[in-house]
Amino acid sequence: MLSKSMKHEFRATSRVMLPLFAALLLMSVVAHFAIQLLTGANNLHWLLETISAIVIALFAISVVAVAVGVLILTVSRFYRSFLSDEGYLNMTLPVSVHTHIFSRLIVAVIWYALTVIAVLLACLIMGLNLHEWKEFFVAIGDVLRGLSEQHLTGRAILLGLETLLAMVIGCSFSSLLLYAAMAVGHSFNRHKKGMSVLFAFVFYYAIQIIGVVGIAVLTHMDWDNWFDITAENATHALNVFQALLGGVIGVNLIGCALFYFITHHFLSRKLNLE
Amino acid sequence: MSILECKGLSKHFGAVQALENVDLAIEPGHIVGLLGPNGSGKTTLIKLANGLLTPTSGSITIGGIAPGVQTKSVVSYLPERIALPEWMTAEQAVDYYQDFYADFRRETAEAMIQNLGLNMKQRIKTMSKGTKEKLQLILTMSRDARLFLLDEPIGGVDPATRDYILRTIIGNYNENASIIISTHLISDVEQVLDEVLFLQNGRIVLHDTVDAIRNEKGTSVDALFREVFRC
Repeated sequence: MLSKSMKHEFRATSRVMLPLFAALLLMSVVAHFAIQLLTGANNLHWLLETISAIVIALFAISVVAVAVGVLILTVSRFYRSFLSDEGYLNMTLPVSVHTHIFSRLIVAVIWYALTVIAVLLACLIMGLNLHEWKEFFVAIGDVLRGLSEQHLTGRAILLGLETLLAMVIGCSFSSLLLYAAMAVGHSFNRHKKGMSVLFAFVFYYAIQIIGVVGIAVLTHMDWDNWFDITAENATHALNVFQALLGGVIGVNLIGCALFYFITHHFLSRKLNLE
Repeated sequence: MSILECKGLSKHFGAVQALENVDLAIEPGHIVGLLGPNGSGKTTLIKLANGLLTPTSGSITIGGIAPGVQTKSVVSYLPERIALPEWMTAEQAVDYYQDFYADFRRETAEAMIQNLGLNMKQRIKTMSKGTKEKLQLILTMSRDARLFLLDEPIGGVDPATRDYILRTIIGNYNENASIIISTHLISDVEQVLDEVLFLQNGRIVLHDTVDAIRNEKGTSVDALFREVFRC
């Protein structure tokens, strides 16, 4: 059932996200030529100069629009699927609440990842010319060769995967925080949307306070030897980075579990459709 | 075994008591009218049977099982509002039902949609309210479910649409299944009912067969309803 739920969730979300990505990439191409025009020509006519500047500004707006769009989509899909009239259809399907939450979460995280890729690609298209593209791939090749020469390829792959995992769990954490706030907010008989926003702030600030307290406790511990990083002990630096990343992943996983539990409990036991 | 059974079922929303100590058993193969004025607890009872609400006390079971994933696969539910996603086309809505319900009869649904003169590629948001209601009913009735829970299927529609809806319900009714129709428009549904349940302030005040009401009380269900719920 998870694959079927995801299939329909992709169907529902792709009709919003794909046109946004297409618009972003189109804008990046147009912005690329605007930059070429601005940097390449002397005594450019003021009108062309203004149009080029507007195009570059529109590109920046489209980057923000895509980033905000994926966030709004995460919230609206959860709300529409389970807490609005569509909830009468979705919550009476022979599908467990776990499957419902996971399908929305996995699809949201995939769209977050695709958004990052699309924005990076758009920035590269906008900023680089053909010659610079060649240099870009040569530079990537150099980095990979350097890692291989120092027998660090395996370590770098591991670090890359860990970073990727941290990003995925970070996105899941944000999504689950919003899901939990909406699930709790809609359990009230009145002011459901207002209560959802209130709980989003409550959860967010609760996490911030816990984070500040955690950092305050950690800074009182003796870390002097641990952070003794020099050019000679690069392996130690990698160890420190990996340990920090592990800590971030662990803390986010605890947050994910907490907000997942809240979301599941309120959807399965306190659902209060109009 | 009863297809729907309630034992001491109560549901409270804060201080509001929506259902109070309901005892009920519906046998397979019956069409039951769940009748009562607005706020009598009809929708609450249907939501409890669908697992959309959890009881405050007592129990409700479908074929002996508490509402959950297993019961949802044998219950076909028509909510009182349009629950189909507006962005879907009729075809995508059919796909949706087919993917999630093993007992969904695609050919039946497509034939009924065609009879309605609907284009399968038409988006739901472009349909009239009546057409959306008909499409939702078609999808609900195109299942080989054991229990159909229809919440106000004829509320707020014109008489011609009412006839269409009742014809669709009866035309797709499997005799081994049970149908519970919640409504306060009794005269329209009386002709199709086997049993009636009168709900008042969350309590069952009458559960009898339509024949018994007619023969023993010498009155129609509609007339009896007006008498019981006189303001």
